[in-house]
Amino acid sequence: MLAGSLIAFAVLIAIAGAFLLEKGRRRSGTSALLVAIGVLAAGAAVGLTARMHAAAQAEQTAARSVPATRSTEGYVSSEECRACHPEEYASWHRTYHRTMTQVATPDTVVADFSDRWQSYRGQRYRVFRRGDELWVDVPDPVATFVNEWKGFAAISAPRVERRVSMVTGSHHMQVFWVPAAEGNFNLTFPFVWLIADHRWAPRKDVFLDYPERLHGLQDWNRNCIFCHATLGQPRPQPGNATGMIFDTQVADLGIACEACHGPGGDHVAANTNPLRRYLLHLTERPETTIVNPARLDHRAATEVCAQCHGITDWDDLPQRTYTGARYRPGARLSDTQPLIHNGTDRLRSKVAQDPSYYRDRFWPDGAIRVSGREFNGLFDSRCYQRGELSCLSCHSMHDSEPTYQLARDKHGDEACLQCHGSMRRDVVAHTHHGADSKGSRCVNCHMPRTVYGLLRAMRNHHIDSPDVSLDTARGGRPNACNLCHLDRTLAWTQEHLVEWYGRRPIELTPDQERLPVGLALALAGDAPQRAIAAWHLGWLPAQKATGASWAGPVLAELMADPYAAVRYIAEHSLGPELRRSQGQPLDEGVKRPLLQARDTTRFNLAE
Amino acid sequence: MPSEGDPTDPRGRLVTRHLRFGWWTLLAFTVLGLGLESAHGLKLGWYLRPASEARRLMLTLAHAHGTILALVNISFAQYLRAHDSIELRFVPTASWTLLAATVLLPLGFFVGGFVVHGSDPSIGAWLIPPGAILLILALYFIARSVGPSSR
Repeated sequence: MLAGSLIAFAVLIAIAGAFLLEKGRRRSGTSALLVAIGVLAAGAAVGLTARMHAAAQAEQTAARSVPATRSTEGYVSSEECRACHPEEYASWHRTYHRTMTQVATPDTVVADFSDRWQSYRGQRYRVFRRGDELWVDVPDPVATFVNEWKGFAAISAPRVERRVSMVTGSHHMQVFWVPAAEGNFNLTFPFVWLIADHRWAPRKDVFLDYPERLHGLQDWNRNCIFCHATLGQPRPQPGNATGMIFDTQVADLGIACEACHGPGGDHVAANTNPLRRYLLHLTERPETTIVNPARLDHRAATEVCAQCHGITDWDDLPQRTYTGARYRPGARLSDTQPLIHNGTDRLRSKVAQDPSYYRDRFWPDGAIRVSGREFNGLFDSRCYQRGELSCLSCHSMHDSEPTYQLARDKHGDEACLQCHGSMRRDVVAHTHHGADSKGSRCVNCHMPRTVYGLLRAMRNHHIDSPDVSLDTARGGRPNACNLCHLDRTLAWTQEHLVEWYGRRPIELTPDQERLPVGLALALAGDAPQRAIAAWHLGWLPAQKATGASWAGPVLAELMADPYAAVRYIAEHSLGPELRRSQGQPLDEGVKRPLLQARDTTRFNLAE
Repeated sequence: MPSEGDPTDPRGRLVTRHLRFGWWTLLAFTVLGLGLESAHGLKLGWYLRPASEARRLMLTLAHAHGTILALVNISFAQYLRAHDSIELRFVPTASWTLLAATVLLPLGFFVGGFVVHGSDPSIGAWLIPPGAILLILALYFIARSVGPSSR
């Protein structure tokens, strides 16, 4: 193509030159000038063409660093679905499921790439733009990656410039991927962009990760691909001595239609027949060539989400590496990706290999404590085990706002009241809080925010009732009551639970009898407890219940927490109002013993 | 020249029929065009949201086909009136097939677009293929009706 253009151009220049020379015999002065102009024009054209060629080559190189989008295994991609389902495509397109992986362009990236340097642990990182291309200047990611595996920092890694290939993110932050080796192997850029704060932050610091640990560069091709793309196929290449040469391909970047509906090839082929389509339209018969999660029973429907929103084992790893995950919507998840769940041999085996496995994922009582794994919580809930609660009971992909994806008519208490309708008649009698109080909202007591992720506390999908016995274990899951009434003791909470709900009282230690739960969690708790406490200290209903001035001094202590994520949450919880209200400094006699008793277990929560 | 006012003159009756039908149809589909422009102007979700892509296409096609076929009817009347050497045996068939096509084609697009199933128009769109066949027949018979030049 390029060679053809150059030859054509050269021929044109030659013809023009010959014409001018011929004319030049007659008028030598004018012709010399024209020849000079012709030669200059030819030079400029060749230069321009060469530049275009270089740009095209750069584009090709950039395109090669992004996993290829191919139709395999019966998958056809969301663009194919769009043609017939424009509304569903548009509603999905609004969601953050789509943005879980995108090609990095000025349209998809919100981060500031205007030539900035960041420093972290003795290394410098630069972000910059070349036209519409987003670039980073970093210590060689491959050397860093290898050195980290070996357990030491990549101080001596040579510097390289890499064009950012992909971006992962939603409304909280954006994570960036840079090509690291041959093929399309991609590693994380060690800084993320915090969208609300409009600033860069070390990626390690946004995870609840113990301070001494190294960066933890992550590779996209073997990990993220399975849940941040549709039918991700890592495809390591033969002769791959470094383990870093991949020809990775996907059906779609991001979590697209076929992640939930299954491969669409048969559906597309069957519905090229208009008679079939009109028969379906007019009779409203269920379509048999594609899965609609809304028509599945509650377990199968939930497992569609659980393929990613659960901690599962990959029994299909050998095939998964080359042809993608074997699970298909509508099938039994346990056949290929069994849930790793409290009390199972699988979990015991994981813990035997890695003693931190359990604590980095679960509370001591077995409830999940990391974000994005809602199925582990739901699976333990009576509403799921004995009832018919599914993800779709409350959430919707196509009829919801993108942030929480709560179905339009399932906001507030409505999601719970669809089964527990009798509560509607006299909610105060059940909650012992005012009808409009936050203490009367179902989720605040039965789904408190005891999950950590993305620099905040999130709702646990392990649906249960407040229980002080959970807190009494070392590093135990905070009970719902004291996440609002942070300034009250466990004894106070127990007294109310016994009186209101007939709970059997348990024996409490003297500290549990006398110390406010919020204070104990924030100062003496382990890292997940401190993060959860820090978030709730800034939660408006909690501040209303405790009085705003109570939270300030506790948050001030958390601002010096060893974990960057806890410090970040504390800073945000403190906010300008609390800074102004200040409050009494903490009593040294109370504070010091608590800080000395702080649980220093090293956490690296597996978000 | 046919006498348009003479009810016993079949050619004159056809001229009147196609002129009247053509102008009224043109009026109707121009009004539809104004409606579609208004839907854009007023940003009606029913018409503009992504799910209405099929509706927009079908209603636009109804407007385009209705308007053009109205003009074809007027042209046909003009042709009957102005041309001397017409093979009259083809004219009645050409006339009714043209009228039927002018009804079925835009109506099919219009009804098909009013209710849509995703990217599929409603069953009203099934009027379109017979309408298209009738239009082709009408054009065939009109072409056949053109006789030798009167000069």
